[in-house]
Amino acid sequence: MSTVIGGIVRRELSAYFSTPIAWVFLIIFVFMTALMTFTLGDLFGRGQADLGPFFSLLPWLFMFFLPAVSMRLWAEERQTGNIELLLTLPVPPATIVIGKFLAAWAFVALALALTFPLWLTINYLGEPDNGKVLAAYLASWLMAGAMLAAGSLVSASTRNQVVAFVVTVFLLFLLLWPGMTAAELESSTSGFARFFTELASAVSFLSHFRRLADGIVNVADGLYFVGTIAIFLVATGLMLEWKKTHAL
Amino acid sequence: MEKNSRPVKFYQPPSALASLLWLMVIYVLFAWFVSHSPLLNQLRWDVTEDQLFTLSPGTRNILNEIQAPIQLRIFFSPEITKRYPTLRAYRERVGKLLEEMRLFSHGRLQIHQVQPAPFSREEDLAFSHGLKPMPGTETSQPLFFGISGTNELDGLETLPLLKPEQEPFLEYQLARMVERLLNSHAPRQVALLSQVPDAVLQDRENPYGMGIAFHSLPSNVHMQTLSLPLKPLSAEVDLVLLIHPPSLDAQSVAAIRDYVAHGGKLAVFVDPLLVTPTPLGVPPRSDLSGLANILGVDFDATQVLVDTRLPANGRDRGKAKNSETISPVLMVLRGQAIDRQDILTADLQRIHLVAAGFFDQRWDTAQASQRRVLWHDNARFRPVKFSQWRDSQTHGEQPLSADARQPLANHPLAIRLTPPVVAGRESGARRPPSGATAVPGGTVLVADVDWLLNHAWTQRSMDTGQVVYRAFADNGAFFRRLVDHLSSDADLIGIPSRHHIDRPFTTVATLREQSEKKFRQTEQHLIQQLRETERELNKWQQGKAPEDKLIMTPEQQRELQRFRQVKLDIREKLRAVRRNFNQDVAALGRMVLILNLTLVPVLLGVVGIISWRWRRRRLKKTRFSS
Repeated sequence: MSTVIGGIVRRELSAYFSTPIAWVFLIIFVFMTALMTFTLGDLFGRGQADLGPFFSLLPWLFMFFLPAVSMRLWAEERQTGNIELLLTLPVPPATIVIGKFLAAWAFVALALALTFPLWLTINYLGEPDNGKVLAAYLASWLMAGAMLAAGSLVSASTRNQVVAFVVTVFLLFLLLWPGMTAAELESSTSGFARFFTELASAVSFLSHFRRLADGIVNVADGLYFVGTIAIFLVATGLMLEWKKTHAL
Repeated sequence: MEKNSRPVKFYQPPSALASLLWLMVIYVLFAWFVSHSPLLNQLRWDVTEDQLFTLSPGTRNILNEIQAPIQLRIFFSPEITKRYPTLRAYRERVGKLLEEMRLFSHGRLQIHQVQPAPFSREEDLAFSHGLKPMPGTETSQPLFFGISGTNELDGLETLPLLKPEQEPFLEYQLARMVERLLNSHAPRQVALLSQVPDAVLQDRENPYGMGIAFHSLPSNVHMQTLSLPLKPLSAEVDLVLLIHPPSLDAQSVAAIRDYVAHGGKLAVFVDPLLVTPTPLGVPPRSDLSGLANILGVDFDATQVLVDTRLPANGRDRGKAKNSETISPVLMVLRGQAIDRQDILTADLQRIHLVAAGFFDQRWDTAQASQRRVLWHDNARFRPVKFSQWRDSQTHGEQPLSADARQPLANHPLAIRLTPPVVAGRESGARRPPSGATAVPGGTVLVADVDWLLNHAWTQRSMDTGQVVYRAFADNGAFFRRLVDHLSSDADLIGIPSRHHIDRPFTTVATLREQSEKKFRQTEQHLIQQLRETERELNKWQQGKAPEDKLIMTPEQQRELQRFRQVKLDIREKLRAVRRNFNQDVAALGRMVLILNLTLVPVLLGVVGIISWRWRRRRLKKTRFSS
């Protein structure tokens, strides 16, 4: 099974780079992250040798960039009619779902790795806590996986890539936003309101990401992202199954 | 009947869509479970370089002792602090550490956030809990940043003001608050052994008494006096205080050794020359030889630190000012002479020692379990033999001879250590008692006793008919903190100070320093030029004949104009230098921005084009060959 998944990953990655789109995506992503980090985050002006501005903006940049990667996972196959062929291949559909997801995840890992000049910059300017920076990169990669898995589910539910993009952006916003305010509200509320804010904080990508990015590699947060990826990928499989059964 | 009957389905598999909905429910439950599982949340690795989020064993032990809930309230004004990013960053840091503490308390430490808006109930609560508005802020509204803690017995502890500069002691401060809420009514037993009479120790009136320091101790400190020979010290004793102790016999030494080795805390004040009058038969010089093996520290009681530039009997500081005598044995410690990394001395500004001694230089500063708390860095003070000191005193106002001077070293005046008899270091023939567990940093030695004297740190005055003592040095605060700290829980004493979370750009700082230097040099040069020009101008004007002073020839006018122009040019250059002060830093900022924006995108563009062309060529080849 692993060789089959490996084959799918290679095929997908090769497909990414067969058109200029992947290159353009990488260029824009790296340019935008650097620009936002230096302008909105004021990396140089704040005078601190850490990548705080970069990692606090990254979830919101992911919210727009990752749907662009995930939208084509299934919607494109459905649009071009390749999906019937794919799902009739002598490999379990789960293998294809995992293979496609891993390829997208590897592509995003490459995009993340290409932000290395920022890391070099803070090492040149000061003495950053590189353990914390590494933990934050790991957190970003795990969160990107969860976002792509969510995007994969949305992509499997439609044949229109633009619809997949817009719906994924909205879904990711719903999964990020509660984490922004939940932490603040959690300690100042009580009763049902407290339960609700705690639930929002538990479900939000942002609260788990922030804890990891602080430099605490926590089993709970790691498991959350891995579990979220697994649940969304199973949901993608079920969505494909449902679509197939109802010939949609 | 049989014809119409249909097979009954006891179980119908859910449709894919229903499964999908179920999966979303499972997702929410899963997220809740992993976020609230105490087991999963305790499996964590702090990968930060300075272990910023790892609680020390002492703090964990204190948190484990919590049985009934303790409420901690963080008072913070988020709206008002928008202009203070450092404060907000520190608030975040405090919140994260409290979250760690909450996790390890199994939820018994309950954290609440209070936002005291002006004229609100929350603001009243802040004031009633003893919080203080932050001074020196630019807002008209009170800015709160503090923590109050309450227990179920209505005990209240407050950290009225949290300051970012106190970050190294944040964990200690929070743990101490919890520890006090746990043991809010527990008395502290301090056992005292001293040759200084009790009347002197309690005397607040006499300048040579020590009563002001002793009366400033917290009310829960109960002092009991020990006498020789010492019997085995009870575990109930929280601190043994030796002030100018008598020579200890073997039984007493063994009692102290066993006490320290079993988690007892010890404070020893010794002096090579006790200034306060002592009863007949009490030597003015302390003897630490009995304890030297246990503590691993040597103290030469024959040497006194003396300001060798002053005559032995001191002199008056400027008779016109006041008749305050500067004594050659009065040593003022401040700035770099005080350890800023130790909770005992971190915020002390000034300590006065009188005829202090010092500990032996063989004392190992590299040992993590030993640190200097106070040391002398004043080049004027030299160690001299006590006998020579006395001789020079009898010879009137002659300064000490150069022969009496010895090489200067940063002698430790107060040290904090873990006694080596239990820390595994060699200590003569003595062996540590079985089951020995000394408190790390639980022993403090000070090479002076007179620092407790009333007149060494306070000034007596009358205020509206009342006698008031105004402190001009922090000796009292040091003594209070020392007794309070050492008599508290051993877990608390073991909490180390932490690193600051901020990591400034060192390159930028170096660049700024260079620019500053360059700027100052150029500025000085230009100011000098300006002064010279002005001087020449004045000279030229003064050099004119009295009758020509009001009349100017065209030549003179041109000369005056030239001087003025030179002056204007210099002023313009000076302004330009000031304007360009930050240009190097700004240039670095621009360079870094441009590199980050262009380096990878350009490289990607080039690699992308090459890859695309290579693919096209390969595709053409394949088509051609097929």
